[in-house]
Amino acid sequence: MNASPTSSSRVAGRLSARRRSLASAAFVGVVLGVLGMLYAALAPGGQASTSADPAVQRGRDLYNQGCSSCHGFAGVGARRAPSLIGVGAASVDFQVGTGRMPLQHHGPEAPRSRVRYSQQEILDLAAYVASLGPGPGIPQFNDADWQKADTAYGGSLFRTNCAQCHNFAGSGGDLTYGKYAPSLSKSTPRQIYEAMVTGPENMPVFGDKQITPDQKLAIINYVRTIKSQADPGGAGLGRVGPVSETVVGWLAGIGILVIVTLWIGARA
Amino acid sequence: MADTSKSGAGETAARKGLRYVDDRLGTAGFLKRSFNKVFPDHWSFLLGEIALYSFVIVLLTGVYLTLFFHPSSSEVVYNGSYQPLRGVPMTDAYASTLHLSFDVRGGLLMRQIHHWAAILFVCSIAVHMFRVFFTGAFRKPRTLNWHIGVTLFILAVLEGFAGYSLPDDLLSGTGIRIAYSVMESIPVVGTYLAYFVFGSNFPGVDFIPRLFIIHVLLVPGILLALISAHMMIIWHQKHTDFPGPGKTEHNVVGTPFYPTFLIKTNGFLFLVFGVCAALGTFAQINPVWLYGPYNPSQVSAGSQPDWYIFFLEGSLRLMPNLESNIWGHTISWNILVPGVVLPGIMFNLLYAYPSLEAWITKDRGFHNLLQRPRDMPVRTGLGVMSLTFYGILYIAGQNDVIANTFHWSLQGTTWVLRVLIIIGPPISFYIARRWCLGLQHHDEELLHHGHETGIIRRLPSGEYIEVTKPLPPERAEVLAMQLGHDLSGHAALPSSENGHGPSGNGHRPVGMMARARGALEGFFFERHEPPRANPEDDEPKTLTRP
Amino acid sequence: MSDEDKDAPRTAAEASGSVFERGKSPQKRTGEPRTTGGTSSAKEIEGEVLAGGSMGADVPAKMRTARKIGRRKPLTETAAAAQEAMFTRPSDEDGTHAVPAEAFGLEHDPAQVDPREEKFAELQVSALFGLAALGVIGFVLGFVLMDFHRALGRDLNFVIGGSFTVSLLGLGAGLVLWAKKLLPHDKAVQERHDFHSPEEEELAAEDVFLKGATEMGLGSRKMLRRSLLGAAALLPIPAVLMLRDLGPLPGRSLRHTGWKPGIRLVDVETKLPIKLGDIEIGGIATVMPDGFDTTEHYALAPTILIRFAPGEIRSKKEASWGINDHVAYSKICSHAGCPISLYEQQTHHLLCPCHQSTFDMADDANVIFGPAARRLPQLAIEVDPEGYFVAQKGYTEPVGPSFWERG
Repeated sequence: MNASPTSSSRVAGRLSARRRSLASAAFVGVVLGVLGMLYAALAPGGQASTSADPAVQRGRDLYNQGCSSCHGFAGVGARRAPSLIGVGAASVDFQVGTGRMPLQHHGPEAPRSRVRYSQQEILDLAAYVASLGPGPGIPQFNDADWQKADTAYGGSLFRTNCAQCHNFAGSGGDLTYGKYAPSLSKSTPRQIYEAMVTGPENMPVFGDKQITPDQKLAIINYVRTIKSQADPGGAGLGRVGPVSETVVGWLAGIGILVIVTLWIGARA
Repeated sequence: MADTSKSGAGETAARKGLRYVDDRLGTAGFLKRSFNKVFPDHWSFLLGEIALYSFVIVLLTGVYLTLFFHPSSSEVVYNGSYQPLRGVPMTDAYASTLHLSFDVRGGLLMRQIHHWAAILFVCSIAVHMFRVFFTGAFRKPRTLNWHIGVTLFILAVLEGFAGYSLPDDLLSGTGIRIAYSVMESIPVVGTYLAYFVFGSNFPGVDFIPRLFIIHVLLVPGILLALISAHMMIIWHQKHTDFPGPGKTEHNVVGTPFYPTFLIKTNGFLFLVFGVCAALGTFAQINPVWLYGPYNPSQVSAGSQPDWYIFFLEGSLRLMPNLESNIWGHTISWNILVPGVVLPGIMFNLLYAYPSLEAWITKDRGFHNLLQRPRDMPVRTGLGVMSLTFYGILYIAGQNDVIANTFHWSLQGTTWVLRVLIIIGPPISFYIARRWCLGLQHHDEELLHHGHETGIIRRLPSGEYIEVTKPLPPERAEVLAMQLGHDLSGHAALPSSENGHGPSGNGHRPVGMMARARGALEGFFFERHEPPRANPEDDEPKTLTRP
Repeated sequence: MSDEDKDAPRTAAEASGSVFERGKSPQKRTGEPRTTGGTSSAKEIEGEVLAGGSMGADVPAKMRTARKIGRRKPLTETAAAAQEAMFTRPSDEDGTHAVPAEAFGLEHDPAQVDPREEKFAELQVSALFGLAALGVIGFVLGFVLMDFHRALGRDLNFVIGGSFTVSLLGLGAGLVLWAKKLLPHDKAVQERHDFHSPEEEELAAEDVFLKGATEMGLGSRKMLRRSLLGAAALLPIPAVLMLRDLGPLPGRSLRHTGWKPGIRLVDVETKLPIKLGDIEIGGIATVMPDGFDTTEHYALAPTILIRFAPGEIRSKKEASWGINDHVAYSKICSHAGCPISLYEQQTHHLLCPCHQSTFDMADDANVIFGPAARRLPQLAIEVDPEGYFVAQKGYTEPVGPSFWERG
């Protein structure tokens, strides 16, 4: 198969998923930076990576500065943050690329936030973490992949595997005790793919043997399609179902009509 | 102005037409009475008209939808113009809804107007019911019309749920699944009931055609008949009105039906239709194409029914997980109580309330003048209490969306609501009742002192007083009547109707029911003893409040 | 802008004198159940109302903007005569009685009507009606000319829906404005009749009814009465029996899910069997028994297959019914039957989106929150020689919501 994701993504790191418990972390801000730099200055350098690849080298420096305070040197993990050995480049690209890492607040769910690294830095970090142990790689797509993807089939798969948490239109939904499945409105196809293969936080892992890369592309294409498609009936009202419709019905519908009755009932 | 010959011709034609009908039906007397029929014109009397007109809109658009909808569960493969569902197997009902939405010009518009008008129909019935309740318009002689109204409300909810379920999309299928489970939970007959209604185990193929006939024929027929009865009774009994100058229990003051009221109310019909059309154009409702076809193995986050079922969804969510197994039979209280018993109690209380209140207050009189909410603090308190109870269930029916919006803990919101459902209603009763009594107090001050003018005068003795301006006599008279004072030798309005007020009953209660009634009466009229107002007495009255 | 009428009483109160004075003339307000007639007639009311001049408003006249427009003259002479008759005729036999608006304190002084303003009002109303007509034209143009399928039909909907809205709102607003600005504002007073019939009539009707009842002899002819009651009580039975074939009897069908010993677990979408190792750690799949045709026919069969990391399963029974950290549970909620698969792979919670029952999947689907009363039933699974998951046996208890015969 010459399917879209690069071959590295097929080497799925299937031991990796459970190790990450991203929701359990974090010192932040200046303290974190200072500590990181201290470590970077004092440490003799990561033992795990002896690669001569310059990306890995740069990644290691970034890692030691920004990540090692929680995840430990060479990604061995610590009490407050999971080991990163074997999580793969896809995980780094997803977590850092969506701004979830570095973690800003300790809470039940790591929210999507401002991305703190440049694209190149993320790739360097990913290369370094990938060098720690085998894991899913960063998927690559091209236009030909999308043409193959069967949107309607993807929709069925989406409703079976994704809609229960992310809602019928990917608007997100609530989970237990403050956790939630985020909206897919800002997710790029690559991030959706990465989330499926790595299972960030509490999301189940959907490995390539269960949902094949082609099926994943079909799902992503469905999400892309409905995200970009028009709402033929007017304002989409957040695409969350009857709750927002109800608010509109009471406020705009009955609200306006009550004002109309006041107008009609008022003496001229 | 039209020239005389033209208007003359028009007049002749009109007379001819009216004669034609009268010669055959003898309608002249009826017409004259109807044209002269007087309608009071308070704005809140138009709330029921919203319901009437949205029903008209629902009927009109609904007939259009039946021309395209296929009430069938047979499986087809979608091949229409909505690309993201092409090739997906689905029921004919769902496929025809997609066809109606994407391949019939204006079909989606009609579907959306139909759905919005249905939402507004139930909403306006509820709002209308609040008005009737809080103003005491349900009292004798309008008790029967209240009962018809409650029936209309229940039928409207059922009709709405049936319509929401027909397209057989993922969301409505989930709703039907829950309805099936609620039926199953009924002791002894539940399983059989569910099997007979659905024609088999869930989901079966018979349910959608059956539901269709219920939705387009059975329930609308009953609704139409009951709405007609509702209107005819209003027409016969004449509308209630708020007390005001010149208004008595024995007259009705307002606009004649023809022409002014007729033109206004027709204008209102089009305005309601216009608002529905605006919503149908600019606010998307029930996008079934996004939900996908129903599949018993799939579900979407945030699966909600339409608003009028929220309270049932909420009560199911808040209920603790009780289930018992007695002699080999399972009773699932966790569904039976919130899904069957609770709505049964709620609707029966609605039916019974007018009789209950009449029994407690011993009020057997006829009432054409309305009360303000403050005039009956306990009734208002009970109403607000019920609304609070309903409102908490209503919120619980969407707590996942609320929790997700504010990133609260889902379980936390459920617990907060579980506590609120216990303590909220009594607190709201207390607040509402105190509020009413406070407003009564304010009215008393207004009645006895008049408006504050803000002018401070210094008396020769050095004392400072604020000058107040007495109320105009008409206003004072109406206010006194509303407050239950016997200002001018007339019987006062609200409580002591027919001398059956709290103190008007000199008999000692005998028997348990009578004693209970007596106690409840004391509770109902737990308000100030109306001061014996002496018209010449300008001294401020002190208010004895509980 | 109108001038203040200096001669007019400042308030209605001044005009009508003391309320206590007027109160001396008795005026009934209570609705007594058994009084017939004898109520204040519309004539008296009108007299009272008119005597007060501009009665009713408690606000000084200068605080109220005077009405500036209003039809003061009827269009035709015949209509004028009719209106005149209404004003002069004391009361119709139906008690209807028109009263000029001034009687209720509504200023409607013809002298203050500016003909230009009336003309302007007519223009406003006509403009709204014209807008309604334009809306229809817009609708037709959009319907005929626009490309239906552009943006899934949204653009067409905007155009025809928007113009339809404009049409309806224009017509409605025009009608209301017409009534408010150009139609007479006269108030009418109508007498209310008693809601019950005169007592003698009631008695007569009751007598006729009772006479007939006596003639029928339902009280004296016991055999007749009992046989009639018996027949009437039995009559609905055929109607109930006729409903018998609405559906089959449940029998034991709620206990059958389609799962049998040795049947393979197949993915609900691809219908392909699942091998040990296909599911990642922390992964889930929705599975059905092999050979299922549609989910509709197997509505109780959907099952979720979960793979834990080694050592995460806390329940011994759960682990022994599963294989290699894979376990299978019914996807149908034990509360109200929604399919549940909101699975959190770190906390092992499974959440139902309908009523939020939460199950701890690492502890044999124990209910840790919400209205569900029972654990989800577990499907015992094993792996066949080819490495595919198969059911060891069917579900050992009924799947899904409770029912009376469940036991």
